[in-house]
Amino acid sequence: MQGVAVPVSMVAGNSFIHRLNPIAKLVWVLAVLVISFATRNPLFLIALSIVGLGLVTMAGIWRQFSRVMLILLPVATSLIVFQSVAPAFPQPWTPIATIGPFTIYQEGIYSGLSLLARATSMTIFALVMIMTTHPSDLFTSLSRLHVPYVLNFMLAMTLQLIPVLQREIGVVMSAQKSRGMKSTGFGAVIPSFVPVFAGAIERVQQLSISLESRAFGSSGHKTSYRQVAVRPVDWVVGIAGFAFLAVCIAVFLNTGALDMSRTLIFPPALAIVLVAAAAVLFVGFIASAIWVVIRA
Amino acid sequence: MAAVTTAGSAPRRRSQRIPLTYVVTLVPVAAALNIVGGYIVGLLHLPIFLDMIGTAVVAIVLGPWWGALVGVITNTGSAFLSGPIGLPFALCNVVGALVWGYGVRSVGMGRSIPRFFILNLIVAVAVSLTAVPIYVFVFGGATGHFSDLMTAAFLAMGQNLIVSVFSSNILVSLADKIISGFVALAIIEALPENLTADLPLIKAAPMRTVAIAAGGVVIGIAVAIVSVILTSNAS
Repeated sequence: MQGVAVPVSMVAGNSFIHRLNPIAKLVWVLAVLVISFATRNPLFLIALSIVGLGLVTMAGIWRQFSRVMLILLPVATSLIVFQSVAPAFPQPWTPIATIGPFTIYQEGIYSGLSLLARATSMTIFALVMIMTTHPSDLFTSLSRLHVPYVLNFMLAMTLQLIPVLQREIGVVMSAQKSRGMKSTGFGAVIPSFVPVFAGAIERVQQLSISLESRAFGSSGHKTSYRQVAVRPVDWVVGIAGFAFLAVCIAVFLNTGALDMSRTLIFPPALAIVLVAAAAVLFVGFIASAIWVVIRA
Repeated sequence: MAAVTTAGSAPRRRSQRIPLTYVVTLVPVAAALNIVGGYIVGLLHLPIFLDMIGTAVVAIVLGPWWGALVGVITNTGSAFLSGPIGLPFALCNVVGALVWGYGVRSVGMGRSIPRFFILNLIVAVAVSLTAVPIYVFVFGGATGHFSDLMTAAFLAMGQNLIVSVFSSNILVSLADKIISGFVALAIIEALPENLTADLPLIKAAPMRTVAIAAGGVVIGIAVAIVSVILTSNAS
């Protein structure tokens, strides 16, 4: 899942979602996380994703949101291709179509769609929270829930340092290129990493002294520059999140987690189109990855 | 072979000398560097991850559990950058930190180049064993990475999904962890002496040598995997 990070930051706005308390939003993100792992019903998970897309519309963050969702595309294509021919599902499998030497299984399509819908629903709800919440508001709210201040500080500082270090890497690599040094491939790893890390360590020393001089770690009441209010509507939304989770878990326990793996039948034509489209995109991604490595 | 800098004093005494504020600032810097490692890999067009270098540095210098914290913060911070799909891989980062940290600080695997090389191989295997169940049961075997090509090839050879994902993941992981480990070693050399004076650690090897050794190991393992698969298919 690793790769080039697409920076996701808060998209300014004044929608209902933006104004909600960060903890109320976090409750919904965690609820969707638990629900997504509790069932493999693709229809339920797709419905959950559609609700999430409704929230994206409500928050007015479509442009930035769709850019970040593109990260899922390579994973989605590989996932459909692999699952259709080798399902992560107990045997026996039911063959429904063939493409060349490969047999596509009913359980594979079911499993592929459910795993993809699971990742999509979790990502949509998490991105809605991240893109409508100021990180400082989230950390202030978490500290009110007695999450250790040191932990909040380290997480907030990590997020602040990323753009700074990315800028420094750009500077270091430009300097290396201007000296005629190799700028791609394994030979460029040490000349790129070590100066950036050494610079970061100097920053650590300065920050450490700065924290010492401000009595970091001392006991007593801490104040925050940003104040986060908790309104009645935040309580309602938060409690609704817990209630939704409880209802879903109760339904899953009574219905075998809405399992439809033996009853939801996919037409062979749909399976072939789905797998063929995923395979074409998969081969395209792999070819472009190989091309980039060869050029380096 | 270069000499070990210093050996001896207990890890507890060393970490007690490092002020809390220094630790509190070094951990997020290392986590940020892990995240930015993915960005550098993209710029350098490398088919590996390099997202555990900060974890290795902190696990070796401050201790395994501080390294584990770096791992957790790395993946939590990544969730703010690219969504929550990378969160389960915090476990891989934690496992890597514990093996690197205890390996160097308790078992003395950093005292010579061959020992450190073997430690990185152990890290690669441990991380792969942790990552493969996550890839298979959470992401259906997909990684969205170059290694998916190898997974597809192993599937086409008739292997099941778990074996295919492990075979492709271990090849990438071996190259990644060997290079990450030796880059971490080079970075530790550049750290202030008060942090590293008592570490039982060898000096860094030239990167070209490390890349050649890593390439040799990866090719050797790849040949071994393919020959095992072909033999099992034939029988």
